[in-house]
Amino acid sequence: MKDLQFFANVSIGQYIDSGSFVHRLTPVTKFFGILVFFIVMFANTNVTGTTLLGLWVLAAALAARVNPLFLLRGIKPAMPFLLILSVLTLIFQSGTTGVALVSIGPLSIHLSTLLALLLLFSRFAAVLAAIGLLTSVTAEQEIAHGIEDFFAPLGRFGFPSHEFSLMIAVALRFVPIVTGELESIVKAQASRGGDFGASGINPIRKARSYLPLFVPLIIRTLERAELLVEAMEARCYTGDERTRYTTYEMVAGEGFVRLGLTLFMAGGVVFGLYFAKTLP
Amino acid sequence: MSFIEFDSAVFSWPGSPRPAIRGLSFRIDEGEYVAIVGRNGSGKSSLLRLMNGLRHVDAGSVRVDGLDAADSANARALRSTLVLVFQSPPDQIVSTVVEEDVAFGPGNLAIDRAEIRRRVDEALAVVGLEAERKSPPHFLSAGQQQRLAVAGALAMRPRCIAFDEATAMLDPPSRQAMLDLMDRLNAEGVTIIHVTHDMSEAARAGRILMLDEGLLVRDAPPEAFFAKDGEVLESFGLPPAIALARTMGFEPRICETAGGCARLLADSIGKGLLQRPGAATAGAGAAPGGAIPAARGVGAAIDGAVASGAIPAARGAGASGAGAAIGGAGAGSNQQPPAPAFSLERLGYSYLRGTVNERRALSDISFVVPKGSVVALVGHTGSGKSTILQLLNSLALPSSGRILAFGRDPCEPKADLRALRMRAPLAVQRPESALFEPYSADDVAFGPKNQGLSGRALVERVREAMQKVGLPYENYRDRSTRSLSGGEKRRLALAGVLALDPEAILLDEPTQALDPAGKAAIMALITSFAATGKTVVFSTHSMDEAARADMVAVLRGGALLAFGPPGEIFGNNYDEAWGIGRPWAAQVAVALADLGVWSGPTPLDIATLAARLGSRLEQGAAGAATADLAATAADLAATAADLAAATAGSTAAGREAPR
Amino acid sequence: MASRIPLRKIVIAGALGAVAIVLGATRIGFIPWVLGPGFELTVMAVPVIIGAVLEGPVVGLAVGAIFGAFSMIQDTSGLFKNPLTALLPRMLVGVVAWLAYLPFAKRLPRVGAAVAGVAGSLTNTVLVLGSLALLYPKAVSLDLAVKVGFTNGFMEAAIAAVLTVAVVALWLGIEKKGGKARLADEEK
Repeated sequence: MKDLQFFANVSIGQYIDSGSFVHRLTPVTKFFGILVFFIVMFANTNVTGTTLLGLWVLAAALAARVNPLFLLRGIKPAMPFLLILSVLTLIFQSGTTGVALVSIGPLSIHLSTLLALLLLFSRFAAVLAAIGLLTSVTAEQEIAHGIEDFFAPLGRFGFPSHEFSLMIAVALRFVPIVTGELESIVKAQASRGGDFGASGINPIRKARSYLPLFVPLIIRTLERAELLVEAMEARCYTGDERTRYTTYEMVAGEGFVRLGLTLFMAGGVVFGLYFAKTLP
Repeated sequence: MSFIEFDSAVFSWPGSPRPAIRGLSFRIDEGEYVAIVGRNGSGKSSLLRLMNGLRHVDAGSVRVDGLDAADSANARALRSTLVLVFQSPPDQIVSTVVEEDVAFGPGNLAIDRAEIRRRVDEALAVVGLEAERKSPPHFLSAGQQQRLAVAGALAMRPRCIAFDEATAMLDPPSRQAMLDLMDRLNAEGVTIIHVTHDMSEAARAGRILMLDEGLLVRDAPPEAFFAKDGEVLESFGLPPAIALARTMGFEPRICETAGGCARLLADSIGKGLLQRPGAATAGAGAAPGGAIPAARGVGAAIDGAVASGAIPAARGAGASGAGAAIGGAGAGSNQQPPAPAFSLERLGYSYLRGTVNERRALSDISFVVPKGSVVALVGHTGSGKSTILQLLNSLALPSSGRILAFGRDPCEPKADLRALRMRAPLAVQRPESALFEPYSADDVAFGPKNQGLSGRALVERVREAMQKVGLPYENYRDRSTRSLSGGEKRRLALAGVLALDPEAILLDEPTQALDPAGKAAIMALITSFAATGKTVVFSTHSMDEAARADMVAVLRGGALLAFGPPGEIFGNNYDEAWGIGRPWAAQVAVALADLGVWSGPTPLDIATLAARLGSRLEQGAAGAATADLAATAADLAATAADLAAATAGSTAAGREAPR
Repeated sequence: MASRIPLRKIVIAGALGAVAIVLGATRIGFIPWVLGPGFELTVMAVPVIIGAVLEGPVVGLAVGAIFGAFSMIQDTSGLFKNPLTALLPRMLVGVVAWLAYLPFAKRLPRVGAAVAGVAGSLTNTVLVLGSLALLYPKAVSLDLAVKVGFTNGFMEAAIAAVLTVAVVALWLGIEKKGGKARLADEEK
């Protein structure tokens, strides 16, 4: 660690307000969209289904006026890992049946293995783009309220949607607080010669070298959480019915979007489970 | 029936053997402005929590607006009648958007949404945060965050706001803005209760209550409160005007501004009751080696400071009194220019370099810290003080220019940053946050262990460091770090830095948010460390603390405006445009000079000021002076008001920029 | 609608969730190790375990959910872009850690914290690798999963135990060794 100023800007996601129709949708619809994506993805495990899903994400990105390449830039840091994984797969999967493309000694690379890898990469790219798209069109302050509205229907079955959303709000509120504490603690200990993540493979020694950083970070966070609890109680928070300041109105045409998402979900599941079985 | 009534209230914190409140009875009427003072642990915070129903009395009763505060059924009514504003600005903000945070309280009352909107608009307007309504709170300065907390309180439409040391973590302009806000709200009929450590702040109230060990020991309007003598009071740090009067031996009188005091004094001088200072020592203020203008080149800056055989000379003459300066026993007596501990040459620093969020924090900073000297960094929040300290500690590396720490350049590829950091360790703001060991001595041992010490040598090092901060090893070794008081934690953290046996220490706002006794202990620590010939660089918002250094660096917006001995920075070379203010004694002297009854060097502390005025008068004369002072009180009030208005104007102009 | 979850638990869950997010976002929560990028040891499950030990299963579950949800956003390995590998295992970490702590809570809280650390961390490893092997059978062989589990998993479990004990003991004020500083041993 040379220059220790690396915490100055911890942000979650990558919200870019292009003012598109997609941006103006209520957070409930946006969360519904990502739910639909995952349901369709699980129902479709082959190349055809994944390709169709990828095209759908692409269309959504274009509608949101977000550059699809921007969404995929997250794949770069993942490359070393994916490559290691590919190599391992090629080695471990080498005994499978089918046409061998190349054979080197006991190892042989099969078409089916390559296809499996391609599928893995494209599914990864699709998920990366979908989650990236969600965080690009959802502002941080929409997250907590959106979650409350999204889970509100489950309230009838006892799901504490308000409490859950308050917890998310507190988490988002605490991200800059914890970042500040971490920065200050790292500096304070570095100043006293602290060196974190000691090398070697002894786990206990590694853990001990982490204590001067980790322990005060958690303790300070808990202390500050207690202060916030007191401040919230002093401001009349009781957990009873309260009036929410921010509400979200559906934009014109949003009903059709929700309908479209529902149809896409149903179609995607039916397609994946019944029709795509025979396709590659 | 009074608005707030305490009747023989008794309260203990769970798990604490001693009650925090031991039979407290008093009343506060609606519309009053009451200050509550007392040492740490005297029961002030408990008191507020009892009023607000956050805690309940064990015996006796607390009633607010006729409601029993110990009855949970009253909680909502109670907390919307009397709201609290806490000490730490960020720890009372709930939302990630300013306007939503203001709406949090009224939202909890489940009132109509349109009404909440009205209240939010109104509250943001009162505290002047309309422009920030959509911002995330963590982008606001501490001062703005604290005003946000007040807005959240106002949105409850309370009849009383209680401030729990709400100014302790703010810089002077933000603090002034907060105090003005309290005055304004009180003028509109809101009852104000202000718990504070600062006696000058307390003196603004209509009535001061003092607690000691859970008992009410004094309850009087400010004049009467400070009129009585008593050592209890002195240990709290008196308002400067009172301290001056005490030193000079006449009846104290509340005068809020230095200008007001100067009028009083000038009048007495005119009547021959006090000696006319100046003539004999006139001209001594023009000491050699003056404050170094930041604009001058690197070479010049270094020359200036290295030629700081001039420093001791300047100190002697400029500060007029050996008592003023605390540092550099070695530097003072030695004619040979000492080698620099740090030298900064055209230093620049940017955060997040190479990203879209790049922000310039420092530009073109050049100065030299001679070995054995004490240097104070002053300037508002965001002026670059912390960044300089981190550069001195090699926690940050310069973006441009050069820095040498003990002759070493941390940017050299082979530089051992870890070793360099331990030669001049930094105590960050609130260093106690980084305490991590369950037992006190173990935490102090962290640094020396990293230096490779063990066994008896290690124990000796820890023992010495703990002794220096006034936490004797024998008594504190096995004390749980979490059971220490706030001031003790701060000192333990500093012991952890001293235990490295460093050549210099760097302290970022070491006295922030401590009570007067805690502040005094830290300043004494700096003095004794410097007395051993070691170097200290510290940042502070208190000009009285800065005046005790050998050299003062004035910063604004990442630029060095001036660097020189305090006698000059706060004396002849002082520039109103710096926006830092001067030590109180200097303000009085300058006001006296404007009235034509002062010449000669500017005093930096009250003792020097008093000495120059001819401290203790004959008994009879003192009486006359007192009578006289009382007579001039009326027109004084008018002057004070003028001055207060002027101060408010100038602070409003320099109000905090977002970080 | 009276609150079913006390405010204190909600706030502490959120705050510890933020710790998990920040440890991930700053990469401070990843300890470099012999295998290189992608295989670092992670301490990000520890806030989940601590939440469960100090405040019970609901807080553990909730911190795990926040940690899981944000690891889906932050993840750069591609494996946690999936709610089945990111969310579910992390939520169960808290529950298992709490169950492991429960029998020791009254009498031997330090031991309980260590057991919870190990159990919680291993739950994370086993479930994450298990679900990976289940979901990507062609890419992650069971063989590989077991190997990674044995090496990284046990390292992480040991680290989690040490960190959990330290934090829990300090927060609950549990004395050890008759309440003496370690430095006392150095005096001899």
